[in-house]
Amino acid sequence: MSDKEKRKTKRTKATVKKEFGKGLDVGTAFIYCAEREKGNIVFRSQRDAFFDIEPGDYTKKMLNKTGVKYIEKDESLYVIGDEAMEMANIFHRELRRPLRKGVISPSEKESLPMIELIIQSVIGRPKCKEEIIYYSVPAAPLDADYNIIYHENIVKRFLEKAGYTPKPINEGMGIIFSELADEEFTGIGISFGAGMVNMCLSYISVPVVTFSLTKSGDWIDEQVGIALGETASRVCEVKEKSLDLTDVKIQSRIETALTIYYDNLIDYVLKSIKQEFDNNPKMPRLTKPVTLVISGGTTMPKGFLVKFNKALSQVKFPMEIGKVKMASSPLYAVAKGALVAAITDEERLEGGTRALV
Amino acid sequence: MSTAEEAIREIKSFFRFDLRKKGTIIQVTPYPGGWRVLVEATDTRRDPNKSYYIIHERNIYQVDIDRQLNIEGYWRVGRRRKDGEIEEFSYGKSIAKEAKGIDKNMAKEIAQEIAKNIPRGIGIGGREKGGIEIAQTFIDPTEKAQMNYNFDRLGEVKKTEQKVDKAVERLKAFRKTKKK
Repeated sequence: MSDKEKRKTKRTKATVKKEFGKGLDVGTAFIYCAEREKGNIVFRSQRDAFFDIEPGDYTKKMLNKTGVKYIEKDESLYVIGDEAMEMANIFHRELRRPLRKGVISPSEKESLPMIELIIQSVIGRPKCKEEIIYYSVPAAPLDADYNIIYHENIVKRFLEKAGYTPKPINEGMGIIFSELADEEFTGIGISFGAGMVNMCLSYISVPVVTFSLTKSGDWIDEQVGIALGETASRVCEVKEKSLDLTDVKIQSRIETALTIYYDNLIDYVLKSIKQEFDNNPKMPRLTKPVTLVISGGTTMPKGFLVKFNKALSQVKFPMEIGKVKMASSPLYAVAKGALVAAITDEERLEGGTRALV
Repeated sequence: MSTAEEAIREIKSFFRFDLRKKGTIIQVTPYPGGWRVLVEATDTRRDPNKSYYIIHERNIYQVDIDRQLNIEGYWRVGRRRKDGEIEEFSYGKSIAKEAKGIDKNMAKEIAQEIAKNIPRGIGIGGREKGGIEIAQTFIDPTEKAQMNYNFDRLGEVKKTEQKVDKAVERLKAFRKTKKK
């Protein structure tokens, strides 16, 4: 290798070294990973759902030919990702979801190795030995009786096995790190995910009040499905592809039902937050108005922020709410915040001690 | 203070870390620092050539869990023999080797003491005063599976021009201030 090439390699390694650290959002509907590439953020997203089909060599050939991703396990064939959702709708059956209400589903235990494989295939290999990865975890739910320890530890184990140093981050806190640097990481982050709504009130980067609610996007899909005799997967498809909450005149019957349940969900979330703020002895006395950021896949339909603001104006919180804004990338905010935490930790480590993989 | 049920729930999560293992809680006994739990762990894997499962392990573990539900350590203290009887281990060396997050000599002492009290059958409560009988509490197994798949990386890639440098610098500054 010439001197010029050696210098070039050295420079490249130096650049890579500065880009250690990853952020992972393990959501009920999607897994998102954030990392840096030449200084910019690159996101990777994967729907964490699967659909089992009849196995066979011909089927596998067809799937390979059409580029559909599958996993074969115990003489069963599982199509994964967006194609799984499409197939579920074609066959008018429900998707199988390894996560439910924000955590690994107790009824999908046999799919644990598949979740592990999906997570590892999204995050890829670590760029250095024991690279730090922050992964999102939900807060304890207010309206359900289960804890998140099992979920947190299982994900931790998956990441350790993949060669990372995993660290958990509260989902709401991820939004704060992603969106509220200019507000000194003080404010409210609300993530409207598929399985849960996660809320975090942070004061100068410290989470003061965190909790979750188990009604969110999936709940809307289920309720609409029950009301109209549709599968939740079909309702979800409509919600993701065409729902517009602003124009009720041109809505289909599924969209009309979705709008009704959206109103109900926003109302439920705001009332629950108010109740928790009113009763929580840890509530800080904030003198300045705080910024509120919302994010998550459930906020994606057009008109969500307008509806949210309208409902918020009718609820009186114990502190003054200033700006209300949507995260810059609502789907990726949690992963981005987790990335901020991971890079911060990585940069605190002494240079030269990290061995490249 | 935690209850025995909470301690068992925590240990169930702990044993699920090993995706191959399933186990049975044999005995839960309170002690001044928390709870001492005996678990029979089995590692059952399918024989790839046949339709039945092979049992690779039937070891008895002692798990100590404190009042705040932190697992202080765990030790292999015996094994289930083929005749159904439990064989107690009387050694100290390998027990100390397996101790996690606890002083080795203390681990040895605790393990030897508990080995004396291992019950002779599943479902028999402890002989110590205050022993709680928890019979056949099943820990759900999760298997390590053989899988074939047609991908290397997954996920739709979205490249952005977003930066996080400012947020990272501010967070670092906050953390430095907090340390001072």
